[in-house]
Amino acid sequence: MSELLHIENLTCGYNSKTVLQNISFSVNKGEVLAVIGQNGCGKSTLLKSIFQITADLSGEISFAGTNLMMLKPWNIKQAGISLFLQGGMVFSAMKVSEHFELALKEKSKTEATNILEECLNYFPALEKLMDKLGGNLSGGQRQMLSFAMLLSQQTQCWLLDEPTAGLSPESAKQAIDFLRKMKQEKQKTMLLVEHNYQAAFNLADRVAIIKEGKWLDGFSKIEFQNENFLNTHLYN
Amino acid sequence: MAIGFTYIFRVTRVFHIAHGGVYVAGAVALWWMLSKTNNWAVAVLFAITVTAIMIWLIEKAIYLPINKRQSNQSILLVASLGLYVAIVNTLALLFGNEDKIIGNSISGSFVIGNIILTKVQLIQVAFGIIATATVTVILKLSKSNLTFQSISDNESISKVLGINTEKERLKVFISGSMLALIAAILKTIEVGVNPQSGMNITLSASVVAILVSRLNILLIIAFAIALTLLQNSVEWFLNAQWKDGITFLILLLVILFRTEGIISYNLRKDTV
Repeated sequence: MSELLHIENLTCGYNSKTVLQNISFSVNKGEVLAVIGQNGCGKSTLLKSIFQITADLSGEISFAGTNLMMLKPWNIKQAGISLFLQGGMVFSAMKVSEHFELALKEKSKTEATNILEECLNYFPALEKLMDKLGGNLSGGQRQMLSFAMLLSQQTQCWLLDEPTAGLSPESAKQAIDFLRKMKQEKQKTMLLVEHNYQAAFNLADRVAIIKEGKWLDGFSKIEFQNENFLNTHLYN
Repeated sequence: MAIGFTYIFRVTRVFHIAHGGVYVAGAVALWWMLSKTNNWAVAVLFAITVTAIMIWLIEKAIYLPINKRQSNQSILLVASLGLYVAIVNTLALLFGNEDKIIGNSISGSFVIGNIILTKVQLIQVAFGIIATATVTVILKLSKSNLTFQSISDNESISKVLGINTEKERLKVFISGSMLALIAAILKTIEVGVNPQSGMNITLSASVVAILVSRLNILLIIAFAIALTLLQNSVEWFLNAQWKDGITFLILLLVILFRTEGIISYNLRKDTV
């Protein structure tokens, strides 16, 4: 598999506070790398830094050979990366139909219709919610709309910040099933930050741990599926 | 003035008190160039240029860097207030504090019962309608209102969806300032301008911005007209000194009992 996302000596943080220091790793095309770690260890900061939302960062970030360090978030999306924000991608004061209108604003009419159809194929329940405001959707409906927004971006690499956070067990399972489909059917590359470790292990090809600001990389499926994995590497 | 202030406030989260400074600067630029050239086209072009450069500098040098640092909204308010004072004092220093009157040949009036309407006032109404209609059509055709709504709702998600929020912020500041310039020119033709004349109109516009939390031009206009009618009625039936008092009493009541504004979205309580 070829390398798609490459991070070299990344140091990042916020409000002049360093959260992660000299982190290096890469994600191959079509691979799912799950990042786990305890609260406040910098998992979300890592994703926001790759997407250039965090102001304080240094090092190298490249995607398919393009240097992302000088780009703005909207250029990074154009380069082929999408970020799924923790809590979802729903605008409270906009109707579901307006979410699609906004996400597909730059596409041609035919292209927009095709993408919308594809989104509704994966999430048919959204069709009946088109006139509902984002702020009036339930947790599960918000998650569906968020994934549909992500899918509508038509990007190759997804940075996922806790996609199952706050969901019921059933909705969390549906979320993971959707991501698995995306991996298998569309060969999406994913960098997944997840608190639900079992969900992460179900989906991941490789697992990395952030512990005390350090990056422990490269745990293979055989290693992280071992029942003592978390006790040995995360909790001890 | 209310449309510009409301859009700027709702999209950028800047309580843009310096809007009053931009309003006065545009009017003074027009008056100055008109006094030098006596050519309206040149004077209007000069006022547009001065206003555009001024708001571009304000956004790039002050508001955007503060926003990037994700500072508290009150810091932006203080920065804007500081800017307003700096602009007004600079104008007073350069051109003096007295009223700057534009000599115009538009005179005459119409009498309808007890109401007297001057030609200048009718021109103000006509220009106001044309400017508002133009902005509405542009927003509709370019789908910009949807983009502005998304940034107003959640700037981070907008960025993630590929919206160039910096460009959109600048668009809102420039178009809002151009609307303020139109208001400033029309008012200057009627009664002239002095460096302090921007504050009252900005505060009235800010009341509308707080009352209407939706990006809907017709609602903003309806509230602006209602507020102006109320202010003038108070002036007519009570006393001119009560005008601002009543305006801010309404604002206080809204802030106390409906923090989200009179016109807002009816959302689930856990998402508000």
